[in-house]
Amino acid sequence: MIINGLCADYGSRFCPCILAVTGGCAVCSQVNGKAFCDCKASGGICIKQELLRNGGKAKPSRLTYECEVMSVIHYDGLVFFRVKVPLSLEREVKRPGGFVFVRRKDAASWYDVPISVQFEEMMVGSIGMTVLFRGVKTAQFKDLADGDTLLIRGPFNNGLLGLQHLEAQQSSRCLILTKGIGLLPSVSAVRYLQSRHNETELYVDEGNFSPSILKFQLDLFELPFRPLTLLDDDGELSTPAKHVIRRFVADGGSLIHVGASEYVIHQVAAYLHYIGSSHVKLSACNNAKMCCGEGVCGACTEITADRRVIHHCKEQVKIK
Amino acid sequence: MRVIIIGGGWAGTAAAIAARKAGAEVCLIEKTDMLLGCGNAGGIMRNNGRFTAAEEMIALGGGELFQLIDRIALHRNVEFPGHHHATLYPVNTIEAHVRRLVLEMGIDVHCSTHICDVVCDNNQLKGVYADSGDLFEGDVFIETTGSAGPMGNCLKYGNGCCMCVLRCPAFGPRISITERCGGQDYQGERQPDIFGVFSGSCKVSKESLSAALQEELNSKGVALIPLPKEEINYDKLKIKACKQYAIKEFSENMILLDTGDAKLMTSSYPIEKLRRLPGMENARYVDPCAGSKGNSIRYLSVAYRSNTMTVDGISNLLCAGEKSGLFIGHTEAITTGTLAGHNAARLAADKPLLTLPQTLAVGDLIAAANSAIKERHDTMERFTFSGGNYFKRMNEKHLYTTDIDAIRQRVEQAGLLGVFNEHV
Repeated sequence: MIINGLCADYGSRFCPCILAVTGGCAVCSQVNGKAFCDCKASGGICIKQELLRNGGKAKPSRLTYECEVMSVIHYDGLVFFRVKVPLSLEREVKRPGGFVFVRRKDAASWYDVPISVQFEEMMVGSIGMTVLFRGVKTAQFKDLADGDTLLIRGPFNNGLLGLQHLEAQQSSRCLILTKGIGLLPSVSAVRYLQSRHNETELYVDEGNFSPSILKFQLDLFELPFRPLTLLDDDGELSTPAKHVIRRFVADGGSLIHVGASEYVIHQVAAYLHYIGSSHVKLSACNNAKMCCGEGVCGACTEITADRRVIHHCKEQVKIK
Repeated sequence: MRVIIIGGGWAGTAAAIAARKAGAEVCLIEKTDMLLGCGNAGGIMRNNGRFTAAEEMIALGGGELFQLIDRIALHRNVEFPGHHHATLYPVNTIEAHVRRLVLEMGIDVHCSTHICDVVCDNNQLKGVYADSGDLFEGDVFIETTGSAGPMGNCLKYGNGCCMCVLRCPAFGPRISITERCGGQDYQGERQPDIFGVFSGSCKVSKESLSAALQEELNSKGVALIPLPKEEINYDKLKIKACKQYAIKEFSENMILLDTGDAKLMTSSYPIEKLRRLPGMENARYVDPCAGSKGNSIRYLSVAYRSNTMTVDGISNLLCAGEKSGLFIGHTEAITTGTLAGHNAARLAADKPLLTLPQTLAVGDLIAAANSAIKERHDTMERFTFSGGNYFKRMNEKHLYTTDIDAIRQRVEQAGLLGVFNEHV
């Protein structure tokens, strides 16, 4: 199933980026050294033209903002906090797939943690994030308190794949399947879909996570949900999950969002393909391990069969 | 049998009609909101050898579009330098007429549907993806995406996007289906090693012209305004796609034709200079919007094909129009499109494909364009019934005639009378 071959930064104020200068653009064949235009974008912006107009240089990359923590809730191995940010950053990042890099003011840049931003009311001058303590980088937030200063770098927009489909939904029916920590970035997707008058059905598989963590999120955003085990003991899509998907497709649903591991996303995509439901669109959380977010460091890259380097921090890749 | 046509210009529309008449279920996909593509900026039919070709197509049974154009034409038998008995059709209303015809025939039309990718397996095209994610699956496909644009090409090989009727910024870039399937296209050259050619004409709003000039256009269909000596530039003929208009008179005069708007027979012309010409003091471009700056660039994506219009190396893909050769014009697009559409239905039905004989101008043009590329690798030549070397060849081979009975007899002798009306 194809989702969208585009770059999440295409046509934004960050485009063309350094990849267009160095021949690694996801969209433009000509800046990559090809003789003829084989443009993959339908958005109406010619990256080659934008690059020429910008004197052959990349547009400036994201800024880092010093931001004050407004409120903190510590809860059973995670922290939910709200930081004061400039309205311009808030406007660009409060959208499905929006994320920022966060670290403490005194931490080195390699402590930057990529975290999705909650989709919520606009123009309040703050953004909310939830960090689960999982390793050395997230440990820096264990003693986070009101009034602390954080360094926030953004906005980034490639936190979800299939953004084009998600944003196209209006007054339709959407199914959201999440497992474990995948619930967190999916909350934004659910709230965005609801804001567009879509009917959402949320199924949550606790996975290996504490039920209380998931309940915390769901209570926080007042989302009704139903429990569902997505995989059976053999690692296949479970019979109840198949039943839910089949019924959703038969009832004329239009989008399935999967907030889970790559493996689960691929299982759902394969099952949709198997039952021949090509009219149902798919979106999913982007599970790539991101480090710089600018297509430079290489942490999130993957090399395709035709030797092209995909930067998962930018590219809206196809769900296989 | 389901035939999918990508590109709803004159070639794609003709292919859709022919495939439908031959009994196929037809889906016609067009990226913009209107069919006909550059046909919405065209307007000239039946000039010189195009008359012969149009009548041959009518005798072959593929005459729907020619007859529709004849019915709504603004001017008939117009004479202008180097050209005789031209018909001028109204570019501003032609699309609505054609769309009604296509819909009445039961063709499934998808406008504003931009194809962005293909599913190709083992040299067989299985389906094409729209950028909405919708998959169009079929038995046989016809690529009539043309060879103009997209913006990157107009930028690299021309003067940048001039906002032509193809409207890439609004509806997305043309893609090459053949190249997405792993094939290789070839390119036309305007001079050795300079790829691409400029489209050959602009449109100026008729109401921006003087009353006298409007009257002349309305009554005769044509107006010639001599250019001041310092403005005569013979070199500009080299960059034009349209060889039939690359003649001396077109450098020495501004030639205007009435196609509803005033068709300006030049690739581009700075508006301040245009406004120095008598009667054009208030002139304004309508297509391309930036006619002062340049025009669309074409011939950058042409497929290698057979004379039955099948694309080399992909078993169920045919092509027509500019995608199928260095052709110029709408008559040529309708001709190649009709053959491709008919043969697509034959291919889907597992029947032998039709090759038009070279005793007909339409068959000869298709074969001549093919041999120029495959035998001589000539990417500078252009092929049109209406002028240049091919019209000379038509005369030498005695293919050019305006005798309709003789044309019909010629088609009858080839045993092909009404062949495009046959259900395969």
